[in-house]
Amino acid sequence: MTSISLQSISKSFDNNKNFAVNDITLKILDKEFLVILGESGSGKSSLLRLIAGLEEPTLPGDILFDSKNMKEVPPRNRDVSMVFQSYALFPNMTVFDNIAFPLVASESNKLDVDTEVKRISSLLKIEDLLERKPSTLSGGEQQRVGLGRAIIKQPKVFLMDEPLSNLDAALRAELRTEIKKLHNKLQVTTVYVTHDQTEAMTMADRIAILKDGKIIQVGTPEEIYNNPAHSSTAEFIGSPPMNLIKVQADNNILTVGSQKIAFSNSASGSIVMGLRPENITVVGNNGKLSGTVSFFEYLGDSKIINLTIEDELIKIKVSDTTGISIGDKLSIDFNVEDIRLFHVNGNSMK
Amino acid sequence: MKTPYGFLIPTLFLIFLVGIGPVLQSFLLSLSEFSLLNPSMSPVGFHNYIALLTDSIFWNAIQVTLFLVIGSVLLELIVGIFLALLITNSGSRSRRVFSSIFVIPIAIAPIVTGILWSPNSVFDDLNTLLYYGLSLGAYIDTSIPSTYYSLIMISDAYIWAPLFMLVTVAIIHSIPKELYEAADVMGASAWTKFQKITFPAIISSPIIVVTLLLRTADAFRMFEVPYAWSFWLGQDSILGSPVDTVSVLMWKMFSSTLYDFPIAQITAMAIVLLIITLATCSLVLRRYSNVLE
Repeated sequence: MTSISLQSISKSFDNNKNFAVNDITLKILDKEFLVILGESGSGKSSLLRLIAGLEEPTLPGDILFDSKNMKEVPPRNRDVSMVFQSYALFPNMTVFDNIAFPLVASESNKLDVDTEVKRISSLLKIEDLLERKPSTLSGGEQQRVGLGRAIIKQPKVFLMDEPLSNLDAALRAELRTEIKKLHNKLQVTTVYVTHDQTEAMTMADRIAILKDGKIIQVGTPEEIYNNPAHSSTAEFIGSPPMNLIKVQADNNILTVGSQKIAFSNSASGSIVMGLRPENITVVGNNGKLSGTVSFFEYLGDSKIINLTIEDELIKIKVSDTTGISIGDKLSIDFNVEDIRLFHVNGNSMK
Repeated sequence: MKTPYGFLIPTLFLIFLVGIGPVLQSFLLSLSEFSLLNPSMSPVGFHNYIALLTDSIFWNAIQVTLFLVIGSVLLELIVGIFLALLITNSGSRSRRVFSSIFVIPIAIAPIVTGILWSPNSVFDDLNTLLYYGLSLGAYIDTSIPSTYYSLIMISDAYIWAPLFMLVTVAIIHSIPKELYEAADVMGASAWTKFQKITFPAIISSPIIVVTLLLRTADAFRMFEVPYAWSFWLGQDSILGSPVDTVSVLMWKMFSSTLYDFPIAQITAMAIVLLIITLATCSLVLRRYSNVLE
C-alpha cells in the first residue's frame, strides 16, 4: 500500500544544460495504475528510473514513498520491481532461476522459493517453460517471465518501462489485458511508461503526458480525451488523432480559409481549432464546412475520409462511405460544443 | 567437370601449395633419415618416431610442455579477467591510463620478458634485499622446481594476460546494462551480480573460447621464457643447459639441431607437436561446441 510523491524532480545528463526531466511534481496514488505517456526523448524512461533509484535526481527535489524519503535509498532497498522493454532476462539461467532470482538474491526473503515460482508461473501460464533458457522463448513468453520475476517478491511498486514495445500487435493486445488483470488482482501501485496511446488509454487509471521533460497534463483517459490541455496531447490521443485546423478568430466567428463558423469565444487572431474525427458527420449540404474528398483510409469497422477544406486536410471517421468518391464535394457538420480551441503555442484556451 | 568447380582450382592449388603440401612434405621427410650431413631421402619407416617415443627426454619435454601450457594459459585467463574487472570498475580516466599500462607486456619481445623475470635480473637483488636488507634471513630459492615453474608461468602470464584482459573488457562492455539494473532493483549484491551475470557472460562467450584456443595452440610453441631460464638453473648436463627440467618441446627440437642437424628427426618431433596441439584444441572445442555454434 504505497503512494509515490515526486516533488520538483529534475534530471540532467549534461551538467544542467539540458534537462531530460524538468522540475516534475506528481502524486501517484496508492494502488493506482499510472501511465506515463510521451514520445521518445520526452524523459519518460528517465522519470521511471528516478523512481527506481537507478538515476539520481540532479537538482534538489524529493521522491517519497508514502511519507518516507527515498533520496538516499539504493534501488535494492526501495522494494520496487521493474519490467524492461528488452526483458533483461539472465541469459545463462533457466526460466525457473530467472523467476526465483529476486527471492534468492535478497537475504531478507522468507518465502519458499519452489512454491512461489510454481504459483507465479501458473498465474502467468508459463509452467511448461520453467526448465528452458530465455533464448529459446518467444518475445511474449520472455516478457511473461519478466513479469513473473517482477511479481514474485511482492514489491510495493511496479515499474514498467515500455514492456510491450518489442512485441507484435496481437501479442501486445493479449499481454495488455493480462497486465491489467494482474494489476486488478494484486492491487499494487504501478507506474507504466509507454509511447503507445492505445496502451495508455486502455490500461491507465490516470495518464501523465510528458513532453520535453515536463508534464503537460495529468488526468483520467476520459479527461485527456475530452479536454486535452495542449495541442500535442490532442494529436497524441485518439486514433486517428484530433484534427487541428488553423483558424482566424474574430468577434465570436471562426474563419477557416473563407468559410465561417459561429462559435462564442473570447479569442481573437490566429488560433488552432481542434475537432475529433469521430465527432464530425457528413451531411448532404448546409453543413458548417465543406470541402473536397482527397482519399480514404479503410479501418475495417470504420472508414476515414480525408477531406481538403481550403488548405487544411481534415479526417472524418464514418461507418459507411457508400456513394462518396474521390473528388466529391462534401459538406460536414458537428456540434460546436465539440470544438476545442488552442493558442498557436499549443496551450488550451480553457 | 561442371564449370563452377573449375573456378575453385586456383584456390585449391594455393591451399595445397601453402597449407597441405608442406605438412605432407614434412611427414614424408620424417619417414626418412634426412640430415644436413646425410641428405638422403631413403625411407626408414617409422624409425624416427620410434626413436622419439623411446627417448625419455622427449617424454619429459612433453610433460613439461603440457604442464606449462595448462598452467600459464589458466593463469593468463584468471589474471586477465581480474584485470578486466579492475579496469571496467574504475573511472574513465584511470581506465585509459591503466589499460595502456597493462597492455605494454604484449609489445615486449618474449625473450626480454624471459630475461627480465629470470633469477639473476630480479631475484638476485630481491633476495639480497630480503636476506640482508630486511634481515629476514629468508630468500626466494629459484632453483626449486615448484618455484621456477611458477615463475615461468607467471612470466608467460605477464606477457599474455593483457590479451585476455582486452577480450574480457570487450565482453563486459557488451553485457546489456539492463541486466545489472534488473539485478539492482531485485536486491542483488555486487558479488551476486558478478557471479550470476558477469562471470557466466565471460566464460560462455565465443570470443573468450577462440582466444583460449589461439593461446593454447600458441603456448605449445613456448620457447623464449624457458630458454632464458634454462641458463640460470645450473643444471648444465647437456650443451650447457638442462634438458630434464624446463626443456619444452620447442627446446628439445632446438637442441637437437646442434649435433648434425637431423632434419628428419626434427620434423618427426614437429609432427608430434602438431598432433598434440590439434588434440588439445579439439578438446577445448568440444567442451565449448555449444557456444561456438
